[in-house]
Amino acid sequence: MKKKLFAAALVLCSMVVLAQKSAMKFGKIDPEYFSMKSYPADSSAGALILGDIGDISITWNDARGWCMEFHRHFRVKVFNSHGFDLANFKITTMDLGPTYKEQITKLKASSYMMEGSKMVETSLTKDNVFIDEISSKEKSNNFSVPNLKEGCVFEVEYHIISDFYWILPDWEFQYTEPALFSELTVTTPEYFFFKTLMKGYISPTSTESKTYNRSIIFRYNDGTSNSVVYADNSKKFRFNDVPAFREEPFMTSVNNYLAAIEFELGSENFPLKKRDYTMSWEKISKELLEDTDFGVQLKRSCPLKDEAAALKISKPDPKERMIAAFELIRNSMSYNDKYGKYVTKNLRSAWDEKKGKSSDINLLLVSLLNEAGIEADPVILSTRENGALHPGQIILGKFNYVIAEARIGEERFLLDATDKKLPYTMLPERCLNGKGRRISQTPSLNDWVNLMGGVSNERQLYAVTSLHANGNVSGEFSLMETAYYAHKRAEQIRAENTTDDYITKYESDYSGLYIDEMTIENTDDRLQPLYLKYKGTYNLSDESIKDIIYMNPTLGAGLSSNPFTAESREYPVDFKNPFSQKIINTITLPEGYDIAELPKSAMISLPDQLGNFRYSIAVNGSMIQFMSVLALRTAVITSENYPYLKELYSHIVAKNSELIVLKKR
Amino acid sequence: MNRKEILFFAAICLSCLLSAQLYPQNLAVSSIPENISKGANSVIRNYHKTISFPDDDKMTENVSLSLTILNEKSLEEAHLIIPFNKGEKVTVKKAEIYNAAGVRTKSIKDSDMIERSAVNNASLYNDNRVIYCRIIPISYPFTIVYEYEISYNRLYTFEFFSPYISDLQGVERSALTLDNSSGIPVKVSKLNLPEDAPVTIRGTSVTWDFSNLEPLVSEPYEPHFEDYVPTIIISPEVIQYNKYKGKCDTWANFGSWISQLSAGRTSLNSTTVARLQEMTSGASSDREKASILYKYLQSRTHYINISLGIGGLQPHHATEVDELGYGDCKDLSNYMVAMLKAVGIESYYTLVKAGYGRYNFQPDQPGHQFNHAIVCIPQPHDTIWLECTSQTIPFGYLGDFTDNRPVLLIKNNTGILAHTPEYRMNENHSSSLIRIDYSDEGTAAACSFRYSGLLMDEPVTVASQNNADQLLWLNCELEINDFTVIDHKFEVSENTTHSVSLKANLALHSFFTGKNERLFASLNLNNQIGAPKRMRTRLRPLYLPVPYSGCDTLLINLPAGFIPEQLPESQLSSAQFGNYTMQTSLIDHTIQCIRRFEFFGGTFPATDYAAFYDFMQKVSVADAKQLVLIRQ
Repeated sequence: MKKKLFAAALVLCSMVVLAQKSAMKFGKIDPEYFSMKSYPADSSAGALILGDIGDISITWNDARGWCMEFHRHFRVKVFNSHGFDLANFKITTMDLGPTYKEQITKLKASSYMMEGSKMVETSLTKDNVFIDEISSKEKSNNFSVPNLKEGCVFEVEYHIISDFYWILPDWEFQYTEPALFSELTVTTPEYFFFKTLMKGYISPTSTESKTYNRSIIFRYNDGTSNSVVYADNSKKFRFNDVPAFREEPFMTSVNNYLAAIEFELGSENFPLKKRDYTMSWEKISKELLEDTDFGVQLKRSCPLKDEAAALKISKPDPKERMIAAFELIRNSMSYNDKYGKYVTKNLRSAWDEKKGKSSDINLLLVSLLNEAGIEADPVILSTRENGALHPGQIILGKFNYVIAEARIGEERFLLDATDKKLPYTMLPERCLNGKGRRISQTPSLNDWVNLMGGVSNERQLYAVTSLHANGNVSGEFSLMETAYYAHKRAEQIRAENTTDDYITKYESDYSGLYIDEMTIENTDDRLQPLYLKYKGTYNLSDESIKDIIYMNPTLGAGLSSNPFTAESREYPVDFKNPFSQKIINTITLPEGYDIAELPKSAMISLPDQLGNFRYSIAVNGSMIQFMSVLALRTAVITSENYPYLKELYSHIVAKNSELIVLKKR
Repeated sequence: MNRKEILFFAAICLSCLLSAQLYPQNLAVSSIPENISKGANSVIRNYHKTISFPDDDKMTENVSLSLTILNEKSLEEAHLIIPFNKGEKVTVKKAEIYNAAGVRTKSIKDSDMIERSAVNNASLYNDNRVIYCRIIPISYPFTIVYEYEISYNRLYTFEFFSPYISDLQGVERSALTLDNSSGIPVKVSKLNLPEDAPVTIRGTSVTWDFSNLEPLVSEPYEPHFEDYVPTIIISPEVIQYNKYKGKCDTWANFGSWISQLSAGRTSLNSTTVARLQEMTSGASSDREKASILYKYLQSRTHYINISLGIGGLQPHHATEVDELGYGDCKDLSNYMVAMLKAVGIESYYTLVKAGYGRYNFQPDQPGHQFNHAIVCIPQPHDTIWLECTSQTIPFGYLGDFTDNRPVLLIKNNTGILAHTPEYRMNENHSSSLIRIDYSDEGTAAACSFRYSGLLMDEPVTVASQNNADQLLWLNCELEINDFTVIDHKFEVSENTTHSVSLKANLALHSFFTGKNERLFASLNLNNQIGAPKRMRTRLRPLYLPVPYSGCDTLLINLPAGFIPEQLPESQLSSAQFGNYTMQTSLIDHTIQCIRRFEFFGGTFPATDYAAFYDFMQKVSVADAKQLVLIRQ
C-alpha cells in the first residue's frame, strides 16, 4: 500500500512540474517528455499538447500603419499514431491587394526523437510547404510536420502580420487531445477596444492584465519628427490541464461547447477620432436600422406595394392577411441556402430576381407586412451551427441570420419564409437556438425574443389489433405526427420514389411488419398533422399454434435502446423541441386463451416537471387496453439533470421489453 | 463491319446531321416522352461526350449536355461543376438555363463562374481545381444547357462512359463519340450494350448512340452498376505523360511503364539500410523480418496525400519518405518495397482498384484501372500482402478494401496480373461467450468476443482507438440495457490467421425485465439479425458479397425460485442462403443458449429475392426470441 501511495504522489508531483512550465523556446525540449509513455490523466490519449502559446497584438508599423500580429507556438508529445493528426496544418491568409493582406513572416516546424542520449531534430523545409491558391483572394499554406514517430515530440511556430487590424483571430483552448496548457495573450493599444467572448464549459485557470507604455515616432520629410505615447493593454488567458474535447450525442455545433475566445472591435478611441462600434444593444439596433443593407431597406418604398394593397382588400382579417403575405413571399422567393443579416443588393432587386439569402427574403417579408398594415420587425439570430449567443456579450458579428416577427394584438408570430415546406407556425430547425434580438424603431421593442419551445413535436400511434393463436398480430394503425416530427417524415416520404418504396422503408423500421395498404395524409401541409393509416400484420412468430403466447404491447414502436450510454455528461442535451410520444394499442385476444400475466402500470418522472413516462395497461373483457406516453416539456436538459434523463430512458427501455403472457385454456 | 453497314451508318449520320442543323432541339418539358419522365427526377435531353485524340500526346474532351431538372431532388445535378487539374485547359462554351416551356431565361456569364482549389480534407495538397456555378432555381422544372471542353497535354486515360449520369434519370439521347484523328491504337470495350445499339462511323470518328432509356431505380443488395448499365470503356494503347512514354496494349507493357515512374526511387541511404539490417538481424525468417519492418513502417509513417501532375501516379523517392515520415499509398508502398530490398527480401509494388463491394474490372483492357497501391511479398506458401497506409491493422491483413480482386504486380520492370486472397465463410467468423451472473445484489457479465476475416475490419480499428471511443462502440455492439463497463481489453492476434479478441467485464444495473411472476430476457445480446427490406418488385439480381459465420454462447444462472417456462429453439436452413440454429438447455441451474449462423453469400437471380427475404425474416424472428422464467 505504501508503495502505491508513493507512486501516486510521484505522478502528482510530475504533473505539477509539467503544469508549471510555461515559456517554451523553439528547439529546447525537456528530455523527460521523451520517456513519457502516456498521460496519466487521460491514459488512452493519442497525444498530449505540451503547450500552445498564442500572442495577438496590434502594433504600429511605419510602412503599413496599424497591423495585427499573431504569433503561435504549439508543442505536442505524440504517444501513438492517432496523435499524428495534430501535425497537419492548413494556415489560410487573405490577400485583397497590396494594402490589405495577411502575410506569414515566420514558419518553423520540427519533430524530435531521442536516439540513444542524443536528441535528433527534423525540420520542415520550405519545399514541403505547399501553397494552395484557394481563390484569387485566399491562400492556404499546407504542411505536415516531418518525421513523426510514435513517442516523438513536435512543435510548430508561426507569425502572421495582417493589415486587417480590426480582425483578431479566434483562439481555441481545447483540442481533440488533452493539453497541459493553452495560453493566449492579447495586447491592444488604448485606442482600440475589443469585446471578448469566452465560450465553452471550462473556465480559465488564470487571467492577468498588464499595461505597457509605448511610443510611435513619426518622421516627416522635412526632417522633423514627433512622438506619440500611448498605453498598450495586455490580457493573458491561461487554461491548465485542459481535458480532450469529445463529441456527445444530442449536441448542437461543436462551436458551442469548445473552450474558445472570440473578439469583436467595440470602439476606436483616438484623441481626435472616436468611433463606437457596438457597445450596447441600443447602439446595435440603431446601427442596423441606419445600415443601408438593413434598416434603410425597410424605410424605402416596398417593392410589393400593389400586392400589399390587394391583400388589404382581399384579407380584411389581419391574421389572415399576415398568413397570405407570408405565403406570398415564401412561394415566390427561392432561397439560395445562404445565411446573412444584410441584403445582397437591395429588396427591390431581390424581389425582381425572386431569390436571395435569408435576409433578403425575410426583410422583404417585414417590408410587405408593414406595407399591408401589419406591425412587423426583423429579429436577428445566430443559427444552431453558428453557435449559441450569450446575452451578456454584445457582439453584432455573432448574429448570422434574420427572420421576421409580426404582431397582431397580443399575438406574436416568428416568421421565416425561406423554407417552402414550412408554414407560418414553424421556424426552420436551424433557427431554434436560444434567443434572437428584435430590431425595431420603437425603443421598447428592442429586446430578446425566445426562439425555442414555440412548437411541441407530437407522435401518436393508435392501433386496434388482434393477437392470433400463432403469436402474430394484425390490425389497423394510425400514426399521427405534428410539427418537426411530421416535417421530417414528410421529407422521408418525398425522398422515396413511390409510395410503395416508402411503405417498404417504413416496414423495415418495425421487425416483422407487413403492410397491406397505406394511405398518407397531409404530406405537404404542416398546419395539419401528418397521418399514416395502414392495415398490416406483424409476423413475429412461425405459423404453429402456441400453448403460451408472449406479446409485446408496444409493437416495437417504443424506444428499444438507450441513446444515453455515457456515465456522465459534460454538456447539456439539446432535443431542439419539447415532445411527446404516445402509443395506444387496443388488443383483442385470441379465443381460448387466458391472461397469465400482464406488465405492471408505471409512471416515472424527471425532477422539476421536466418530463415523464407513463405506462398503463388494463384488461377490458376480451381486450387489453395499453398506453404509453413519453413527454418532455423542455427542449434542453442540463448536464446536472443528465443522470435522471439517462435513468428515465433506461426505465423506458426496460418497460418496453416487458411481455403480455397468455396461456391456452 | 462490312461496306454495306458502313454506308448504312453514314446515311443515318447524315440524316442526324441534317436534322440537327434544321431543327434546334425542342427543350420544352412537354415534349419528353412519358415513359422516360415517369419516376424520374431529371431527364437527359441530350448528352454528347466526345473524346478526341488529335495527336499521340494530346486528348480533348468535349461535353455538351442539356438536362431537365424535374424536381428539387435532382437539383444537385443542375449545378455547373467542372473538375480539372492545373495545366489542363477548360473552355466553357455555353451555360444557359431554359424554362419549362423551353425558352431561354438566362445565360450564365464567365463572371458568374468561380474557379477555385478543390483540395479536400483527404489531401494535404494537390493540383485539383474546379470551375463551378451554383444554380438557384426559381421554379421547377427547368433545363440547363452546358457545353465545355477540357484539353489535356498528355495521353493517359481510362474513360468510362454511360448514357446515364445518375439514377432516377430518364434519357432522351446520350451519345459518345471517339474521334481518333491521330490514328493511335485505342482499345474499346462495350458492356451491357443492346444488340441493336446504333453505331455511326464517319472518317476517324465513331459514335455510339443511346436513346429513350427509362430511369434506373437503385435496389438493396444489387450488383455494381457497370454490371447492368450500358457502358463503353475507352483507353489509348499508348501512353505519353510528361517525359514518360509507354504502351498499355498488354499488362506487361503497362507494368513496365508504371515501373519507369519509380525507377531510381526505390533506394535508401546507407545509414537507413544499416539500421534496417540491424533491426532485423535477429529474425529467423523473411516473414519475421518483413513483420518487423511493417511494424516499423506503421509506427513511424502516416498517410498524407500530396500529388501534383504525374505525382498522382508516381511515388516520391523512398529516401524522401524516410526523411519526412509521411506519404500516400504509392509513397508508402514504394518505401516498404525499398525497406524490404534493404534487408534482401524481394517484394512487388502492386496496383489495385480498392473499394468495398463489387466493382468492374476489365482484365482484357490493360490500363489505368487502379486507385490504390499495396505491397506483395512472394513466399513459397502464403504470399504476404501489405496495406501500407494503416497504422493499426495487423501484418498481412487486407480487409474488404482490397480483398479478392485482380491486382497488377510490378515485377522486374514488367506487370503481372495476380489476385488478392478471398476471405471465405469460415474465415469471416465471429464468436462470443457471454456469462451472466445474476444476483439480487448486482448482476455481472463476463464477455469474450473473437472476430476474424472481414468481420475484424471494424474491431481492429476500434482496438486502436481511445478508451471513450471503445466504450461507445461496446455500447453499440451489446444489446443490453444500462450497464457499466468494469474493464475491457482488445487483443489483436497476428498469427497466420488474424483475429481480434475482446474481453469485457460488465456490471449490469438490471438484466431481467418484468417484476411479477415472470422474468424476461433476450437470448441474443450481441448480434441480433434484422430482416432486409421486403420488396414489392425486384428488378436486378441479388448480390451478397460477404459470406460469414458465427457461433454465440450465452450462459445465465437461474435466479433462486425461478425455472424456465419454455426452452426456445429454432432450426432454419436454406440451401441457397444459409443455416441457423438456436438451442436452449438447462444445465445445473444455468440456462445455456447456443446460436450458430452460416450466411453463404453469392449472386442470385432477382426472383430469389423473396426467398432471401423470407429466410432472413425467419432468422430475425428466431433471433428475437425471449427467455421467460417463471416463479416456481
